Amino acid sequence: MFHKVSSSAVMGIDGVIIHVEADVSDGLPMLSMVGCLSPSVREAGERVRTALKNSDFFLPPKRITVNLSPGNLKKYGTGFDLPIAVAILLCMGITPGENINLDTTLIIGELGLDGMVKPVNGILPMIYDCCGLGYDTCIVPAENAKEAALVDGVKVFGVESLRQVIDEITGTNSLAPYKGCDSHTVLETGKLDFSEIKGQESIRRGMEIAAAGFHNVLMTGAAGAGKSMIAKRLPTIMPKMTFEESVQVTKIYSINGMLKDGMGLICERPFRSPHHTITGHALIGGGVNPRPGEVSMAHNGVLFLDELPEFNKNVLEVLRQPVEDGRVSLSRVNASYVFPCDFMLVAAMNPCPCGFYPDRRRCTCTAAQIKKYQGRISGPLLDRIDMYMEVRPLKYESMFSEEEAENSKSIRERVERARLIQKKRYEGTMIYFNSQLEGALVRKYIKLGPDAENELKTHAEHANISARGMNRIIKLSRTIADLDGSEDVQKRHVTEACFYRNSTSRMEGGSDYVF
Amino acid sequence: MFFNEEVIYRLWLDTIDGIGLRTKKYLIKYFGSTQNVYHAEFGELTKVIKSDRAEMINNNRQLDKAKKLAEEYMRRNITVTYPGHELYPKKLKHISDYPEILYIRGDPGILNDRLVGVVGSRYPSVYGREIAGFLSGELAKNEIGIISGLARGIDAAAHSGAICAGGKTVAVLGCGINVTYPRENAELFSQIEMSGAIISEYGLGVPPISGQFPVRNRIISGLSDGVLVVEAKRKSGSLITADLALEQGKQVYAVPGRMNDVLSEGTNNLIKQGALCVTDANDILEELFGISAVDDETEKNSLEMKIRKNIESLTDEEAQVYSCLGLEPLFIDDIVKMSGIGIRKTISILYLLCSRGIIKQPLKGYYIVCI
Repeated sequence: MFHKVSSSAVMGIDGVIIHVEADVSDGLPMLSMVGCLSPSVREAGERVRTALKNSDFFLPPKRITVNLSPGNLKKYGTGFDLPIAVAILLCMGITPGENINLDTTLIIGELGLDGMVKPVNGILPMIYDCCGLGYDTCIVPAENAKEAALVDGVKVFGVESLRQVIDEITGTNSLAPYKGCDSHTVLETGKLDFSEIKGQESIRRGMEIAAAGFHNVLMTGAAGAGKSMIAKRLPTIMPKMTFEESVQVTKIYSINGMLKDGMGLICERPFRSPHHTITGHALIGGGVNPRPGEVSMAHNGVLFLDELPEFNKNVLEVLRQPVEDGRVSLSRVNASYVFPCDFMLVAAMNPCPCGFYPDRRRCTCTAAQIKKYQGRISGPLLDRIDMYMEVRPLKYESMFSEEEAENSKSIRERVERARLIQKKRYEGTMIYFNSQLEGALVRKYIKLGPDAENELKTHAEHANISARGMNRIIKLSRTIADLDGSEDVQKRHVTEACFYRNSTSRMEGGSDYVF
Repeated sequence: MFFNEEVIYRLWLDTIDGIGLRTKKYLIKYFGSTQNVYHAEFGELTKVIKSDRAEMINNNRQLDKAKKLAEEYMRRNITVTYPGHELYPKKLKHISDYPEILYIRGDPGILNDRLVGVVGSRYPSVYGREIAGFLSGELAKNEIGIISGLARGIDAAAHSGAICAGGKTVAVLGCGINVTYPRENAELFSQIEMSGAIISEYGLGVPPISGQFPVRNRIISGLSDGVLVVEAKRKSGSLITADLALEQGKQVYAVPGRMNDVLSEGTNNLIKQGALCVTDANDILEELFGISAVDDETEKNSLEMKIRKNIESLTDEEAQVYSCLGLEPLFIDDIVKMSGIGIRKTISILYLLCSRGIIKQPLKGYYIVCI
């Protein structure tokens, strides 16, 4: 007796169809499983056998063979327990009822020994990617039902036990399909608002530009200047995510098991701030079965690296490719994986080891120490940053001034407008923001006025900048012009861009200044 | 360039460890030349110097090493001079403890020109640094060479001020003639060699040892016609140079500071003790060299003139930003507040003025006017 059901697994961040085949035939009683299985999948046999017994199904003393196909894909995870159990039961003579077509149904779930169904990671990518392939129904663990229901046009059954699944299939006790609710999850940003940042005009303006065009930012400033405070408020002025962007983010969170109970689609842009002791693998993703790292968790959001020079140098260098390409490619023996990571890099650093330079009354670092500290960040990485900003600790009077600074809401309105212009410009491409333009596309999409072109030329000769640096200034000018609502890029946009991408070294001959 | 015999013997004496400047002076005075020292009997030597030192000389009587060194100096284009040599700076002979050997890179002739020593703190304020560069530049434009010690801070600013003004400058090292110390002045080092001279009484590879730096100050003051101290703390090493200059009968000038300014305590004290107070390069030019650069009294302060001239060339909004700035670094956010024309215009103007060289950022985010 042979039967087959469909399930799904995650490869990288995409869901793929896995067919679970079972055959019950005469022979020595045993349960053998094949199909390029990892140990976690191999253990499914024991779980299924016991779960069947505890769900009052009698397992006949026959030779049972289970195959997971395609056989060339290495299979990981615990989501195959339920489809294996169902396939075996089908072989044992359970007949599907009228209300469900197993050929277009995905079955995913982990089993406990008592026959209860437990949640698994990565439900969203599995359902999202497979529903286009002709599958219109899915049976998933009850805890994952909400996540699965985010996908339009799929009938979702959230199940709690193996018994429930079989009742559903045979039609003896039909479940009501899960109805998705509209609750959208906001990642914890709390009650942060830009109006709390007072007096620091240059950085407020800079962050607005950065948010509008998704530009990478490096903030330098003494300890306590408010670098982290500013970075944390950045998501509150960034444009809202589109549905596609939200799905991408939610998929990644789903794979990493970070969608907790009741969390629906993630709508707020992620803000990730890994500690500086992080390893390279944790940052860009890794493992035998690669999982997305912090850079991918920050996809479509902010990756905040506080205390940039304290990061391991090698870790910072692996950031180069993801920052440039917006994706991470990892190769393993059995497959290559690509994780998206279009994040906005926001880095912060102190100007010196003690953190008080250039306040020489408090900073005791020697010139050599300061130089060494700032030199920890390599040129190639710095070159990939669009905007450099200086932050200075606030003076008392600005800190407690009554003057109300502009709040996140009204800044975001301007940013959204700029975003809309960009969306129109890049319609039909995979580009969302100015900063994502690459190579020849920069000149294709961005036209500079004659004045602006001249200004850029002078700057290039004056500051001796790389071709990449040049493109970054052009992209930055475009964003500033978009914020301005200006059709073409004018001189004033270029000068402002040049100001923020000022390539002057922070140390320019002046390590020995005293204030 | 060919070295005469005496140079070889000078180099020989210089390579013997443990023979100090005073010992050398005794020996050369007694025997007349280093050559005679080399050939002197042990007994004769002990009459002049202590027997342990005489032994050192006695044990080292071979010229191979010195000859090789001489070739090396020739290859590196370093002039080796000694008192009595034609290229030895004449002014140095007037000081009591003139060096018995002097290594020169660059143009030895410039050492006999009119020179003003510009010295000061190794950790100056931005203001001090700019003023040192400005005054040096103004002096250099009037064909006065600037001599200093190639240290961090004021010294470096003085050298580069003179070079930027197209003038000449001399650096006196406290370490070996081929040693760049501090390292960040490496570029300056080669610029000075091209537009002036680098001199030292220490030969190839002598490391920068702290004791050697105060000693070289006597050469700075000795070669100067006057010494200008720009910024000095109460116990600054630059005050040694000023004291030496006074001993050598040279005029001492000082740039005044505010009365509670720690960095200018030394210079203010100098003024109290009678040093001439300098608020403009003309103060030195007139007093020391009798050069009167300007006739009009109102144009006497060249610094003010320069800033006034700059403002005339600016648009209204540019002038509004420019006039916020001075020689005290001002942070971008403060400039925005003071200019009152909004963040966007202010930063555009700051960038443009920077690229036109009218203002600059001594530190990122902080601005001053260029002088």
